[in-house]
Amino acid sequence: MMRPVLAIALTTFLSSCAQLAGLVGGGQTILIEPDVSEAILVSVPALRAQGYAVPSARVGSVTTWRTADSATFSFDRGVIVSTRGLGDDLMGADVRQSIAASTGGAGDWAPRINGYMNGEYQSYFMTFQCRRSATQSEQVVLGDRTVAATRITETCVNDERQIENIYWRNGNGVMVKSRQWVSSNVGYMETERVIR
Amino acid sequence: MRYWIRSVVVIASGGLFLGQSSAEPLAGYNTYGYPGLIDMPSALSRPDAELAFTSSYFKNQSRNTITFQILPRLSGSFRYSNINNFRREGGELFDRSFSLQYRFIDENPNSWRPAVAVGLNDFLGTGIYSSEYIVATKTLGHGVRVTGGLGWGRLAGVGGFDNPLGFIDQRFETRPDIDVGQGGTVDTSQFFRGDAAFFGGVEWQATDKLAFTLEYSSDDYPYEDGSAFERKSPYNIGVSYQYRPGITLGAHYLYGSEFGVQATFATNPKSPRGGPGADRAPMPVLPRRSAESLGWSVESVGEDRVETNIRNALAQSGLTLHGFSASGRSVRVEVENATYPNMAQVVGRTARALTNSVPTGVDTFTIVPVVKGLAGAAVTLNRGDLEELEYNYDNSWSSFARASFESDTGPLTPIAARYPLFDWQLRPYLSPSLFDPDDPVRVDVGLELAAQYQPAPGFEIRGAVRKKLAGNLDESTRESTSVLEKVRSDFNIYEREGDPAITELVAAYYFKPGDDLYGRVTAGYLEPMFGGISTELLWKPVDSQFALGAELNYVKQRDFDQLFGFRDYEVATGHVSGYWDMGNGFHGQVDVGRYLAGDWGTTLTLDREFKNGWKVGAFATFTDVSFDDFGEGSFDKGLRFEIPISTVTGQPNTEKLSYTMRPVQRDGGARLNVSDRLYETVRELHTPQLNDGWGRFWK
Repeated sequence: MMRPVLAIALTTFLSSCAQLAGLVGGGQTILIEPDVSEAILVSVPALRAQGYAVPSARVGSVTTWRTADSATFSFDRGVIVSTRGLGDDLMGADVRQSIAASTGGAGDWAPRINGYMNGEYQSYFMTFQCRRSATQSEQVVLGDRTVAATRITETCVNDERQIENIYWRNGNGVMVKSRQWVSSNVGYMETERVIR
Repeated sequence: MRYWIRSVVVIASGGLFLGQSSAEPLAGYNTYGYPGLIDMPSALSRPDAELAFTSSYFKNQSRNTITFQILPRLSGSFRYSNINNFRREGGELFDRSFSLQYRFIDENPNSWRPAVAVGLNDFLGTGIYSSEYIVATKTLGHGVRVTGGLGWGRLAGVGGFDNPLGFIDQRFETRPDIDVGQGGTVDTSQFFRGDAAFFGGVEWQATDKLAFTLEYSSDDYPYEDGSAFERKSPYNIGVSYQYRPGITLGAHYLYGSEFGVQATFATNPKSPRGGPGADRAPMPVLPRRSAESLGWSVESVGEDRVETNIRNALAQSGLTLHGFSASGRSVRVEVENATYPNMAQVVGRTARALTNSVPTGVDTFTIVPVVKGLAGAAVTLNRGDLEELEYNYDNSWSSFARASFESDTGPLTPIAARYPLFDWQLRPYLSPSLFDPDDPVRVDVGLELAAQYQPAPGFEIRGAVRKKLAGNLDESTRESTSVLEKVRSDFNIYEREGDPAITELVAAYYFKPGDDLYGRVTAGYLEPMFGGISTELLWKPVDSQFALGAELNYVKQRDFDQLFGFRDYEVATGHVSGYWDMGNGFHGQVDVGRYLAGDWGTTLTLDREFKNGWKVGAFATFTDVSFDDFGEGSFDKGLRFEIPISTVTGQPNTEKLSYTMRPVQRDGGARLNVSDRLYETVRELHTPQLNDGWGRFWK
């Protein structure tokens, strides 16, 4: 008598589908005209996603970049402080230490705090101790150009994991390339300045 | 330009949320679907809040069980079994049963102390699985753990000896026969009575996914041995394999004669598949220094233009402007939502939209979410705080602390373009029917056409008509045996004859008669089986965990064809209701009043509610109808589930999957199914629920 079993499972499955048929997308467009002369190429290997993003807002030293299908990445002087549209988003962050480290500040251990939201919609935080662990000069290939940059590695640890963020800044201090950790499920993202 | 692949995002982010990360040892599910070995119990529990469906089968017997880990130590199960060649009742048996397991001692990994649990099986049904047990489980290391216990009732069928509890009272030594009557009543006279017997087993977690179990069963299958199957040995062996997080498959060799299989599908409302949600990014906060194009003041720009700007910005955020007013340096905005799963996110997205549309001289936003022309909390935010906190690591609580929540007292100020409004939807529906012994699962699918007309705030005329496309609900021919007015038990005639059916056609008015008071009047064809007038009054302060309501209805039974005619039966029915959000994840409700069959009584409901909107609950109704007159089950009871679709898909959505499951539908203790009862309508607009969902404010 497996029939009731299968039928119950099927009913459960179908009832989900019936509801799914009514799905509405949260489609949105950008209000502000982006400054299209600037762009970055962002990729998140864990999500198999990649795309160009253009600036859509600036608040203080934070610039928010938006992809064509509405994922956003916000950087404070090149250091990621917030993402949206990725699922396990970085909701906000205190990155004063990372900014200091990535601009060649002192190499001491200092705290970094990342804010997240769980599946019950409650905030939680991940704190790290971070420090600049390596600095070297490097030639970076961006598209068909080669740019002189300083490569800075920042190592962050807590009781659960160790992450390594890598920042490449050019002579003017502009972040031209980076690899930065976002969250448990998003993992690392990579950015590259698009030079035209 | 390459695009981000949204489905990939959802799968990738959702997949990982299924996993359990728990340091404490976990039980598996046994063939009865409760925490245990193969056929026997164990003392360990499942992760708090886990909701699991287990289906097991061996020779002539299938068991389908829903188990909820109600509390970290307490689990409850509801089971629907099918046994062929069952000796006691003869022939094929469909049986419903409940189980409870409570772990009262935790294992101490640093000493000899095991986990110890006590359990009750089938204490509320016909008692074919009736048993009680005390069981201990100890982890030995290398993935090996041992379980031993003492069982009574069915679990004392093999190797039974005089009840050790006889030392306390001689009455424990004999297990009295039970009078199952109509079933459904708790018979405590049997608990822990009669002979007792030992059972036990060993589990070996060989790898992360693979486990082996050997057990000694004290169940002698008194009604099945020799007819449903041959019980030759007390030993069972089994293997279980975790196919994916949440899906476990098992195979057993049982009682020296039969192979059995089982599958468990588990989910946890605390970490649903959709995770925190892969919503598209919101509009960024536009700081005032970059927003000169928005103008300085509402007066200088003109109210009409500001209103249009706000409307456009809200529309881009998936929201609708209901009302707008401005005074000096503040604006008040009423907003309606058809996109997001909770109101905190509606407030957050509205605030972002306002920074993109309101002149820069305005520094205070008051946001009032509106549902059915009713407002609850008015949330006042400082524009400077939005600019300051957007990227703050603690932005959620910082913004909650700085926001002010007040009861919205003012009359609504709808914009000219809002009313009147006409809207319609054509959507598929699915209507299941469970537990009919002739066919335990029946289902209809079809199309539903619904329409609403809103001439003014709070007024609504709406209707829905359903046309079945396929299904077998009409195959049910079992006639109602009820001795009461057949207010619900003729449901299969309604299903057979209502094609097409007008499931609802009403005029409704929602209003606020005073401070903290909400009112509703609904008249027309209220639900598939009844029409008439329904009135309701609710007292619910905006920051309160308590609410009181009163509902009074006068209704007449509708014709089976669910078109415009009525049958003869009419009744005045209504309840006084108390609601209590206990603040610890549990929610209680008590309704006292007169039910549809004219019976007087009380309904008790207890739900575990999760902050993402999942609800798992149980209810029971006791009225002045005797258990015999009520019929099978003795009184009305059931389980109910509510799952916001957004938590499963990860995409924003206001829809919920709600299901109320009754072991049997009779006529006693039946309530009118009028839609938009005030408490659930208003609750999401109030401070406690805004607080629970505030994580989504910045999402």
